[in-house]
Amino acid sequence: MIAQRRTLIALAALAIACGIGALPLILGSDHQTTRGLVAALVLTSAWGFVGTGLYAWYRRPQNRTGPLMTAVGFSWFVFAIASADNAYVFALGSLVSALPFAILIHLLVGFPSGRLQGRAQRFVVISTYLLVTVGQIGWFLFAEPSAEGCDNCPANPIRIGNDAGLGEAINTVQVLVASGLIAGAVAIVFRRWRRSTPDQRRALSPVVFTGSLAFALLFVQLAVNGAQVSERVEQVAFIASIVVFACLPFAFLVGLLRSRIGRDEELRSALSAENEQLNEKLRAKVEELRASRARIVEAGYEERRRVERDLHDGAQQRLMALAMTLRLARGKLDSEPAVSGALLDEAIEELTTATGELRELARGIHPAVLTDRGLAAALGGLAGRSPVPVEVLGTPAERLPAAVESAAYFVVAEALTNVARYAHAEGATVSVARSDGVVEVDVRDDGVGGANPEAGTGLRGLHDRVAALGGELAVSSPAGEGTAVRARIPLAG
Amino acid sequence: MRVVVADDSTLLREGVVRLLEESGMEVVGQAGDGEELLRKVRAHKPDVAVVDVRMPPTHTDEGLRAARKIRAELPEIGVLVLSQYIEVAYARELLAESAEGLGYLLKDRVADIATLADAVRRVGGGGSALDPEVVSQMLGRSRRDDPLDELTPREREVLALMAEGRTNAAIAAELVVTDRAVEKHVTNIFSKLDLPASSEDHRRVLAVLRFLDQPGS
Repeated sequence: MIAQRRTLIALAALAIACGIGALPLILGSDHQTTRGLVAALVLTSAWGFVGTGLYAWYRRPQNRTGPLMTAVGFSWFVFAIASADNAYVFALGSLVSALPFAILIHLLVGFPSGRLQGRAQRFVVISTYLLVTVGQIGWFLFAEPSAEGCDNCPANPIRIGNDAGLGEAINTVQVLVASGLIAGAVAIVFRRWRRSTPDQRRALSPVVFTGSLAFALLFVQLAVNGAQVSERVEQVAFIASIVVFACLPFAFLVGLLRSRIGRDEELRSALSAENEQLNEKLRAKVEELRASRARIVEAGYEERRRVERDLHDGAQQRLMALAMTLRLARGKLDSEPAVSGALLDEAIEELTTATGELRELARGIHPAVLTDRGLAAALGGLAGRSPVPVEVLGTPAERLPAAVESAAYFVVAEALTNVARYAHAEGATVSVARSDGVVEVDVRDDGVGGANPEAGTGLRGLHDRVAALGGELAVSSPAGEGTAVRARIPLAG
Repeated sequence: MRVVVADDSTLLREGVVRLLEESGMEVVGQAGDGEELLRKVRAHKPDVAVVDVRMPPTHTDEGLRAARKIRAELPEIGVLVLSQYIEVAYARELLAESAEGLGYLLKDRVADIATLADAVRRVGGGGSALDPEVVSQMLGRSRRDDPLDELTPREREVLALMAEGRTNAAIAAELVVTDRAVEKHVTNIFSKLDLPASSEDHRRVLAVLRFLDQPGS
């Protein structure tokens, strides 16, 4: 805020200095016929716009109307430059002499938020800027003001052609385009007027009224410049412009301060950008949630299918084989007791395998020790059963919420299964640490790396399991450098 | 040998009872949960209580808790814990004080009459019976600068059997070597692992298990 205030004060001081500097240029000009009037126009408009602009800037720092008004104010000083007697300074001033009107149109079209909305507004404003820069240069390269009514004007030092007709033609095109753009700006303003609520009209009315007057005067001036009229009429028109242009900034200021809608609008446009981003994020999140929910449901079915398959291929087959073996043994009990005994041994063998498989299957569905004794015990068991040597570096001493323990356990279990299957590792480490309301699970091995987390359903399932608790899972597996699986699970879901 | 059997599954309990009775033991009481087990043990003062880990009402670790209570209250009674899953964490809890008169077996082993009867006899006689799976999990743990690396394969076999609670004679029979050979292996193991030598079997078991169970250092 303080920095902003300093900027505003510096700009005000600069405007005063420019005004004082402009006076001798205008008043001492050889070619300005109405020096006093030009000086009055420049000073009232420039200081009026800068003063009101800075005030508006100060009152509504988020609104761009203030800065735009200030810019219009400063741009008036180009008339002082165009008043210079030095040929080059005069040429420079002439080149930029239409700039104030362009910024004015920008201001008017963007009022009251100061922001351009929609293609039409941008088109009009950008075209106007192009016209007063590129178009102006095009005209000035062929124009010779000293030969076209401005008797005391210095010779144009950057003229490249002698063709007066071409300069005039460009000028005519410029005027036509300018008229079109002004008409466009007026149309935009009136369209806004027509669509606005009574409240908004209260804010727009001073600007629309004074603005229309100013543009009407611009048209008159364009007409006056074209036609030969008496000096008296020219002077009256000029004085009228001074009055209107002096009033214009105050009209903008009053309009801006009246505009509650404008304030809302500037807030809205500042918010809407942020809103848009948030919406975008939200949509992505919802999409991700929908997808992961679908995957979790699918994973549930997949899990059932797996259990069914394991039971069918494993225990069920073995038990059926067992029944057959026992029947065979029963049949040979009397005739071939030795064979019968061997068959019974075989049956016992099959039965032992079947119970072992059932045990592992049940443990895979849910490890009882995890519920009974917590992560440290369950992970110790996992590490002990792993065919690859596993070192458990640390686990939280206290019990964690069941869902978190379960997720952490399955992250480690799946990671260790992958280590055993694919990593060709000499060893692996497991650590689970709690810090700042987050549980960090870290499983890494010294194997071949190169694992693709997108490829396996196992890791995908883990990702969903962790994401369901608001956590995240990261797998890093550069080829030749081992694999690290890391999960961060928040304790308060 | 007098035994109390606790298991909430009637099918399994009666199977165990039948096997024990076939092996010439006397089953003096049966229980379906931890409370009942404690009552029966206090009443009958058996030589051994055979206890399933998971029992009502919570179906988590009732049997384990009852087993620890028996060991604290009536240390002269041997306890053989049967579990659907072998977890080193459970073994560690049971072994907290001593390995004397303690057994911890995978439930599947009961199908083998000889294994079950042998374990009950050992536990009833003040010895230990630890499931080979517990031992292999402990042996399989990753340690930095693992002193176990210095053992020969045969010495590792002997170490595992020792950890299960077998006597030298039993180890010799299992590996088909002489008692003398086993003694030599045991001496080597103790000196390599820097353990205090002990002639008493249950002290020896505890020392070995403590060693195997210490965190990877």
